[in-house]
Amino acid sequence: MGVSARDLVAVRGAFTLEVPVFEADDRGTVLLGPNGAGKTTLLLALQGLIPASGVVQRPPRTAAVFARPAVLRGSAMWNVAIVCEALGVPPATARERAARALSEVGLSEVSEHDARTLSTGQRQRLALARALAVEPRALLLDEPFANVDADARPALRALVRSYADRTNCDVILATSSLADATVCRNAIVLGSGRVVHSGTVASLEASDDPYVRALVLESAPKLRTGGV
Amino acid sequence: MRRLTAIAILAAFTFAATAANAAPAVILATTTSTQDTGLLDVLVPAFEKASGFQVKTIAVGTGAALAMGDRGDADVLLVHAPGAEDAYMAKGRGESRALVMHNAFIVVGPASDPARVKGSPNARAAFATIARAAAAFVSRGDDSGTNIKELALWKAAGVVPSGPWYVKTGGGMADALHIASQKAAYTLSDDGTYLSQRATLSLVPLVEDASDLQNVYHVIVVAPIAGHVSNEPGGRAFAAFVTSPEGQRIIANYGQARFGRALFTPDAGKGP
Amino acid sequence: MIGVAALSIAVSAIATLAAALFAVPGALWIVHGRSALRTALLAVFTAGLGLPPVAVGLAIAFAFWRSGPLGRWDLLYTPAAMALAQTIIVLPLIGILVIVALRASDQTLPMQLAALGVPARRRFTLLAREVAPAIAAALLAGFGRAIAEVGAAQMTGGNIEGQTRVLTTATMLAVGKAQFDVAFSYVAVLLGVMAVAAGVALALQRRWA
Repeated sequence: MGVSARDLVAVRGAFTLEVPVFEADDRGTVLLGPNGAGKTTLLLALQGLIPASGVVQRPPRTAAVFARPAVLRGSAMWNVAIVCEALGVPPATARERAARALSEVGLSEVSEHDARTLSTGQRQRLALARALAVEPRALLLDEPFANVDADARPALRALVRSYADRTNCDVILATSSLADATVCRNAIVLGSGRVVHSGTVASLEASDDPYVRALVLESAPKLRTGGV
Repeated sequence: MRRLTAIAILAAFTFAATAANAAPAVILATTTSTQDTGLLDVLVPAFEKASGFQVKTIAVGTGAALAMGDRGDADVLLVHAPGAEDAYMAKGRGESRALVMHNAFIVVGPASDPARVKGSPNARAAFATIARAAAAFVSRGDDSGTNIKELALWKAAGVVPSGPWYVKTGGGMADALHIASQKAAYTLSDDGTYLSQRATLSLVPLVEDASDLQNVYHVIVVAPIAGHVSNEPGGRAFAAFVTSPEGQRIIANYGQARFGRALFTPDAGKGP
Repeated sequence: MIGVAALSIAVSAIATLAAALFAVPGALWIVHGRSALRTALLAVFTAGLGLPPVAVGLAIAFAFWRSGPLGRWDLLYTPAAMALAQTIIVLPLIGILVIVALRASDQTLPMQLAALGVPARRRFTLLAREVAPAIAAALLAGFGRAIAEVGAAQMTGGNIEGQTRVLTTATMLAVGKAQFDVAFSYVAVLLGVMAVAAGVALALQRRWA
């Protein structure tokens, strides 16, 4: 079972999001759109964190990672392990998973450091490790690499991609960077709470939505040489 | 979470242990003067040991003690305001009333005695003198036995005390004595409390042994109210004890060791 | 003296813990819960902060003396009644302090934990753990307020020797009898107890920081 929605209407303050049909692509879906278009709202609605009308389906273990990750009072290792434990994983296994996830995101050296002393980029990697450690069937990511150093991003993208391939996990990634879009096959562009474009990432090049054109122009070389 | 539960259980046990009683305790409502002299610190444990009852001594003013008896919040009263007691018994709230002991009130004041109170034939004359001189006077103003007596004396003197010279405190007898001492004022005190405080006071007795300065204590067993928790047997036992030879002996001896003389005179059986 | 001090400590410690048992989950619920009733509880906490302890003592005396509605339980003039009064007095204080601490921490934390699938009850315990140093401080403040209280302790306990006499009521009695040296020694012990409690709270805070 993947993530899907029908007749989804979510209201968040003064903002209304309307998505008549949403079907997560099993090779990844990227959510694009300017600030305030509704990307975060859609992720929140899909994860069931805000009230929404319509039908939303998602697998039992769905993990979402948000833009400014919150950490708990404790080491990085503990932050990841405690979430696994909260989900019923025995402590020893939780620590193993945490260690593995932290090493995959490149945080092994700081795994015993207090999580509150980590830099923003390190925290985002920690949040990703935390989400991967619970071994979700669907992964919702909201600007997960925005504060990570540019030279570290490719490795993290590859990590998400390989996890998804290995476990058949649905990935839905909201971003304002087309480089991240290469992790996914399908793309949905939101504008003012509505779906403005839907199709493959490759087809974005042909879109006449002004925002998409700006994105494409910004990263044109990548789109030509990168790929699914 | 487990630790919290353990603490909660421990708390519940402590509550239960302290709150649960096989039989309710005997609630003795009495006056601050009997407590302040220290008599009850000897009398009550002796009673508890002899009878096996547990006593809760609540020292409030005589007025409040009578009110507690009225409501059924006490089992036995040890008070010293005969007029108010008569009214209480007339209401039918007392099962029995017995004379226990007496001591005396005294009029005390500064050694310099500015109002020339010394030599007054009795207390009401002294009070009239004080009012005429508008000399500073400290009243307890708290419906205690001493306060009730003081107001009766003003009435007998034909005076309604008011004005800056008449000061009302709200505390116990020892408090009032110390305030009077500080202000070089006159006041009415029972001799027991005065004796126990004398060392730290700069007041002297000015009128003593007058006919209208008798301070008589009675023990009243409260008539229980149906449906209320009470311990009538305990109340009766206490009344019996303080009027028994042993109780009277304790009363007669109290104060010898500390003050060189007894603070109370036992009176059981000598009258109503 | 030892008995009086021990009773003071025991009654106030139990009252503080009992108050925390209600106040901490209450605070969590007010800050992170989802019912409209939360504002009602917050109003109760805020109003309770300004409630004079003597009023609480009077209300409890009224309820529990033999002629009162709960007189059947024969609870007046017992340490239990004193602890109950202190619990009520201290509850709003602990609640408000924990609320302040919760509001100062990351407000998106509960949502992010929920986003990972952490069940509600576990989320609450993790959120409480986040403010553990503040909870230690709140417990200290509550204990201090409870053990220093005299009016309600007198009314609900009756200051009965060997049964309900605590440091504060013993001090008042000693002053009433003009035994000032005795009064000073009770006060000294009270200050000593507070110093130890403060030390314990500081140590806990350092451990949990």
